[in-house]
Amino acid sequence: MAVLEGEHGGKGSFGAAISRASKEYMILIALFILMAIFSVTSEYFLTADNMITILLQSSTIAVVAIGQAFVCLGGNLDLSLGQSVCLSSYIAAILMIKLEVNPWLALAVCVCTACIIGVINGILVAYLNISSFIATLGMMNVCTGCAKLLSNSATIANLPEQIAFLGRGYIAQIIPVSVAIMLALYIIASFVAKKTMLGRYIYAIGGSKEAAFYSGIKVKKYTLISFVLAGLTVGLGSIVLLSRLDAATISSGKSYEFDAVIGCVLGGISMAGGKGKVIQALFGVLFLTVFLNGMTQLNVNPFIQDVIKGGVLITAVAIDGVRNRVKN
Amino acid sequence: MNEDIILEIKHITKQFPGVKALDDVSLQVRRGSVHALVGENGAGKSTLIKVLTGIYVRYEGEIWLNGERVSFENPSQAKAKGISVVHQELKLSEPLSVTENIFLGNLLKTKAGLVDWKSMNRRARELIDSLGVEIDVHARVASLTVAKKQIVEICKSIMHNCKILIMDEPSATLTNKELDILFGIIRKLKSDGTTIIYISHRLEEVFNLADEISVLRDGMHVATVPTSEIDKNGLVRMMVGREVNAEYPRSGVAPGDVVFAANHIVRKDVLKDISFEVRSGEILGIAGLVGAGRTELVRAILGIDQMDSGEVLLYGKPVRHKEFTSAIRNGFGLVPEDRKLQGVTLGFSIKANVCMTNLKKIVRHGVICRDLENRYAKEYAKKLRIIAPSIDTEAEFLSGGNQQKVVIAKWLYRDSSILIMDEPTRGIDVGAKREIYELICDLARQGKTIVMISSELPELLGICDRVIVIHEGRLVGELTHDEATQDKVMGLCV
Repeated sequence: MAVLEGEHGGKGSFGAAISRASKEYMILIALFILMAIFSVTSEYFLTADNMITILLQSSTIAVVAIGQAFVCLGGNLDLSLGQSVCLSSYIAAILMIKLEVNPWLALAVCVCTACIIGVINGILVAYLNISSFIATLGMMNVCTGCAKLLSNSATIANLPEQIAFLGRGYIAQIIPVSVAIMLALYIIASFVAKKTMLGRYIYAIGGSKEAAFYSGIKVKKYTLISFVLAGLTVGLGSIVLLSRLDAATISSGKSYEFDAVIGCVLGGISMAGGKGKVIQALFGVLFLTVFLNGMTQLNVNPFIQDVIKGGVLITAVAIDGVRNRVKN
Repeated sequence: MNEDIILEIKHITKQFPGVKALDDVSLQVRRGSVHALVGENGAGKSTLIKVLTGIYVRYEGEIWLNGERVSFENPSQAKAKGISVVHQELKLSEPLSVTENIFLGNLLKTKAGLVDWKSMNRRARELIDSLGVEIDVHARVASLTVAKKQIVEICKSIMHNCKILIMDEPSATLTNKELDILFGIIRKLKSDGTTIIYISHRLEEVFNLADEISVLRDGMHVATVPTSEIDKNGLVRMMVGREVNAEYPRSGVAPGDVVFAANHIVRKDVLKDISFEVRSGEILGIAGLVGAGRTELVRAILGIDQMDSGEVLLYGKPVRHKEFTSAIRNGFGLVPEDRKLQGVTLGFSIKANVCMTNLKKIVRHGVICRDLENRYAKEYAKKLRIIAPSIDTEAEFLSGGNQQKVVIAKWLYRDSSILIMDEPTRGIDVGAKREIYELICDLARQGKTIVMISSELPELLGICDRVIVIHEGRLVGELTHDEATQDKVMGLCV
């Protein structure tokens, strides 16, 4: 301990940095271990085809998980994300197929819809002080209901060819466009979280709402914005999903909110808010997808997979809770 | 083992990251005595209580109760062995009745297994009557005065078969009359054989009540003396460890022009027509009991709460603070009451905390610039002599004094010219307090305007150029440094 004189502290902070890094990237280590195990148990697992499949399966969830990450960093939770994907997808599909609107305009409306849902969530949580869990749970049902009303639960397929490349195209015949979009969004989101005032504000609010307020941060405004960011990622994720499935279905986005939360928490983003990196959500989602993919390869009953998924979420949240408690 | 000793503490050491809160403390408490525990804030009294009552489980040393070694895993085990605490912040369930609170966690049952309201009400009434006070057992706790709540809390402990009652600063919020009642109760309990450990800042009370006094300083046990063998000055010397008159620095600045004035500030039921002004380089103290409206006054001025009428003049011009951020833009800064909750973000580094008040200052072309952030954080950490391994150290690992310096650094970094500090030295150890005082004086010398709220009257009288006294939402007095004495201010407070 010394009065800070300009240079950084010695061993102490170096050791702390190591332990922090190991905590942050624990999920990556776990991911590699998991992949090693599956490579041994299934010969098909470690093929290029399967790797691409895993990335494709992850891509839309991973995009939505970015939004969940921002909401979590701000100390909240968004359970409406999955059903918001469903509703936004239907709106775009209906515009394109039934009303024959220009596909690009339809996609823009799709993003706007998701953002508006985010705004409503934000108002409910930030300005009306409803707990985010309850507010977004309600919104989830509203979205499901609207999607069913609009579609009668029928699938709307055969979307215009112009948008096909978003979900099914390849760059240089190797890298799927959707995966590239996902990676690009992670780079942008990481930049926003780390390097911009908006990101800092969201971290500060998640770290301590009170302290943020007493530092002059507009807590309500930026809490609202975190939900709008989630809406934005939902919109973008919906576009990719629409294009990949070439359809809007009633199961589009099903359990995305759940998978996105698992991704965030597994990745190490604290549910208490203020701690973690956006990129960790990607690692978390990849871990989950690899896990499920490997299980499928091993012919594990899909119903059991659901049980395991729920168990993984509870375990991850418990670890997060213990980590927070150890501090005291 | 001596039969007279009910509680013996042997070589207790409790460490927190960066602080030794208790350092090899050993002391004995006699059965049926009132044992006072004194020491400045941060001396380790609260830590000791938490060790004794099973809130802190990990510590070195031994606790012996009735000649038997005990180690509590949680507060209920301590309670089962007869150790109860009446905390400064009362832990009652406000919406429940007096009876319900007294029997909380210990409800009586009828033969049929239902709640036996009849006997509970009767026993609660008997207990309260035996203490010679009047409280309706059916009343909701929320409707009682602080003093009566405290009595309910005491009753609860007695009902839980308490052998040792620890009272943590019970007098801090009581009026003189209420205090007399409390003292009566304590004497009654003592004559019934209960041992009382009494923690207080007010030495008059300690001399009035205690049989023995133990002094803690900087986590160490200085001495335990019978009350008859020591006088007040001697006790203060032991607590502080040096002569007392050297304790408060003065800024020595002649106040300049009026910086801001509050005119007829009214907030329904809370603030009743308060007006005052502050000059540049001046340190203005706001005195009053907890709940008198001191915090509410500054909140209204800063736009955190809206006032119903009245205005704030800044350099003679009226300003309207619609929200806190507009006050900040006008040069106000607030060191809030609750340092750990409102002041710092515990999980964030020193630098993230410091720069939080003004990110624009470290942003270049819309991007946060690490180098600038480090540079500013280092600059202010150095200026305020923040002691930590590095500016990347998280605030939760800092001592109270250093956390408070981080909070002050936030506003200096923001270039605030008017600093409002709400209880800036609460829970900070003696040495660090002195540093905060000097810091405040330094800021005044730099021409900053300081408004300081404190419940510790000596410090207000010590460093403020002027003190205003608030009582029940009204400004009841204004005293210059030379006029203000403890008696005068207390006389206005009650």
